Amino acid sequence: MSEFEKKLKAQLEQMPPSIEPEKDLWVGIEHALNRAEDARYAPHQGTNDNEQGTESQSRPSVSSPNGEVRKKPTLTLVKRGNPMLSMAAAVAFVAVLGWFGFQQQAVTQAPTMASIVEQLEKQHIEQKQALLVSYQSSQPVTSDWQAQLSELDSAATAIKAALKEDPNNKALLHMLQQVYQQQLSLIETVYNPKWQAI
Amino acid sequence: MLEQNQAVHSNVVSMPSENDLIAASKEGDKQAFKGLYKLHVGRVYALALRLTGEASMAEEATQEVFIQVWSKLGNYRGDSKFSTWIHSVASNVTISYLRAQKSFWQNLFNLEESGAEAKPAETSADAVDLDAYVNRLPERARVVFVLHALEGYRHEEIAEMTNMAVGSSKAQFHRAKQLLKEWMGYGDE
Repeated sequence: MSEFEKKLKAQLEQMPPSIEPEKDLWVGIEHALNRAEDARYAPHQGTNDNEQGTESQSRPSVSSPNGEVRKKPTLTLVKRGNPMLSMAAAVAFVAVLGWFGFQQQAVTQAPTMASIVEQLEKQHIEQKQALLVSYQSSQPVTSDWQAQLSELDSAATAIKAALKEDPNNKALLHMLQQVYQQQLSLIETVYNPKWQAI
Repeated sequence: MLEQNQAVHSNVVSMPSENDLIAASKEGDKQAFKGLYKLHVGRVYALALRLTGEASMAEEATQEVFIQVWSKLGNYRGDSKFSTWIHSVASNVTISYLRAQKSFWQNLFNLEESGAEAKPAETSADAVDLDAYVNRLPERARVVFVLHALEGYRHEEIAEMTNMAVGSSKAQFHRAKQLLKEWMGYGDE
């Protein structure tokens, strides 16, 4: 056995088997269990709880599926092809967040999230510039598209401001991506409209 | 319920055993389940922290583990030690949690795993802290290393848990060891 192998073996044996979390995690667990119990005893309303992100953890059950965690729900508030609706939804969502002072924890992730937002913005600017350059010699079909583009810029700015306050909010990040996508769709639509077939 | 299971000997009321806590939890007693949580949270969190490499993710994963344990307690028949069973649930749930997190970010940015995390440690071999080195490993290498070297899973089991080929698991373990070897100052061996 090499020196490294010996050292590694010794280090592995010394690693503590138990590490106490800094936060009390029980409160969140109990809340989730209570919420699931409430949902269980509430009248069945036929809603799609999975899409709402509601965990169905009632009493311990033999028939529960094994060990799979669902992907975190992502908010899909807007549909492609309707930039104004997208912007309105984004602004409304940010306003609601501001109103309720919604905050999440896990400040430790802030630098990473900030760099991700930065990367997203950088990618978007590059894509937008490339698209505008490619349509340089074309004429737009409407005249007010730049105002719409500007409004979407404002929405993106508002979301980025909200992200600074709440850097771990994935819904906000997803929304920022949607707004950026709407900008690209808008440019494509005004320069290269796809007329709907009747 | 829990109170009925507590053994009473003359005037001394003993603490409920783990089996008492399990039985009461299966009946829906959340206070008993809290007792189980207190007994096992340290080990579950340690595993989640080493697999995810990040405290905030480990906290979320740990909570998810206990929520899942609550819903699966009916599956525990006592064939193995409870600590073994809960550790198995913790491994699966944390990997699943990691996968869900990763697919969220991949959907968002179409990111591929790079070696960006694999930055050499700056501390010397004398001041080695293996946990810190493990945290620096790229995700796949870290998960395989933790499951194989620390948790004792076989590569076949890891392959099944992580949806990778057995050969990939072995390769990731080799990669992890090579990086650790370099960072711990044994690169010339």
